[in-house]
Amino acid sequence: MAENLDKVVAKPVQQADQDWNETEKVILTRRSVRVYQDKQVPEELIKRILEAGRFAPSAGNVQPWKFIVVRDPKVLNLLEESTIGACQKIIEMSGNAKPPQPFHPVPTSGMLNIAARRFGVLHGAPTVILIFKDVRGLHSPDLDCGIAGQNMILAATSLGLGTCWVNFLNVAFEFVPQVKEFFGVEYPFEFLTSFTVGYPKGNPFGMVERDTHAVEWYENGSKQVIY
Amino acid sequence: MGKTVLLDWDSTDLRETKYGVISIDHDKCSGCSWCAQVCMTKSLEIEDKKAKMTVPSECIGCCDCQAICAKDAITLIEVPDYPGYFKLVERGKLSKPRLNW
Repeated sequence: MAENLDKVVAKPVQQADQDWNETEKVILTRRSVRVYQDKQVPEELIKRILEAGRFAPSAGNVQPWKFIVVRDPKVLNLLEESTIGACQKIIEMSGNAKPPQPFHPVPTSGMLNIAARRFGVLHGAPTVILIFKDVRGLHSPDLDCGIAGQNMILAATSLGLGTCWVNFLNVAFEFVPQVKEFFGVEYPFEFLTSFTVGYPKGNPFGMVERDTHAVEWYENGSKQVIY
Repeated sequence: MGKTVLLDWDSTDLRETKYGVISIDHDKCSGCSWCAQVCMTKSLEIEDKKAKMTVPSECIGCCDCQAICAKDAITLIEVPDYPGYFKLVERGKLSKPRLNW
C-alpha cells in the first residue's frame, strides 16, 4: 500500500526564534572583501567552492555557465592591467563630452579611480573565478550565472574566505582583444562577471545596517506594506 | 515613507549626489585604521589617532568599515543617493538584520 505522502516530514521545520542558524549567519555577515593576505587559497577549497556553483538551480536545468579559475599571477596581471589600460583609454577618448544621460556616479568614479590606479580591480586577490554565460541558456542565463555565483560566494564565506564581485573585467573582455583571445572566448560563451577569493586581512565579517525596503503583503483579503 | 516621484532625466544634474554618512564614536575608536584600509572609496582617514570621514567623502554606505571595526565604534546614519541617476524609492529606516520582526 502506498504511503500517505502528506504525513511524511523530511525534516522538522525550525521555528523562527532564538538565534540565526549557520546558513543565515553566513548570508548576513558576508562582506565584499577588498584587502587580502598575500597567501594562496588551497586548491581543495577552490574546488569545494566550484562544487557549490555546480549544484545551483538554473532554468530548465540547462546550467548555462562556464567557470575559469585564475591563480597565475601573470594572468591576473594581464586582467588587471588590461582593465586599467581600457579605463584609461575610455577616459582619454571621452574627454569632457557631456553624456546623453546621467551616468551612475559609482562606476563612473570607479573608472576614474582605476585609470588613476587609486582603486584596484582585483584587489590583490590570489584567486579569481571568471564566470562566462552560455548565451543559449533559457530565460536568463545571466540570472542563472548569478545564482551559481552567489552559491559559490556563500560557500567561500562559510569557509572563512573573503570574496568580492568584480564586474570591471567586462571592460577588458569588451575592449582588449588580447584578453578574449587569451581565454579563447567564443560562441556560445560570453564573459559575464567574476569574483575574487582570498584570505581577508583582519576580520571583515559582521552584521551592519542596511536600508529596509517596502514589501507588499497580500493576505486575508487585504494588502499591507511592511518595511 | 511615501512614494517618491521618479527622476526626470532632462531636469537633473549629473553632479547632484548625496553621499553616505557614518558616525564614529571617538570614545570607542582606538585609531587602528582598519576602517580606512577597507574603505573602497577612501572616505576615511586617521587624524590624532581617531578615524574621521574625509571632506568631501564619497561614501557609498557599504558599511565595510562598520563590519571590520573591532570596537563597534561605527554606525551608518545616512545612505547615499544619486538623484541625477537613481533615486531611492520606497525605503524604510536603516536596520541591522532583524530576528522576529
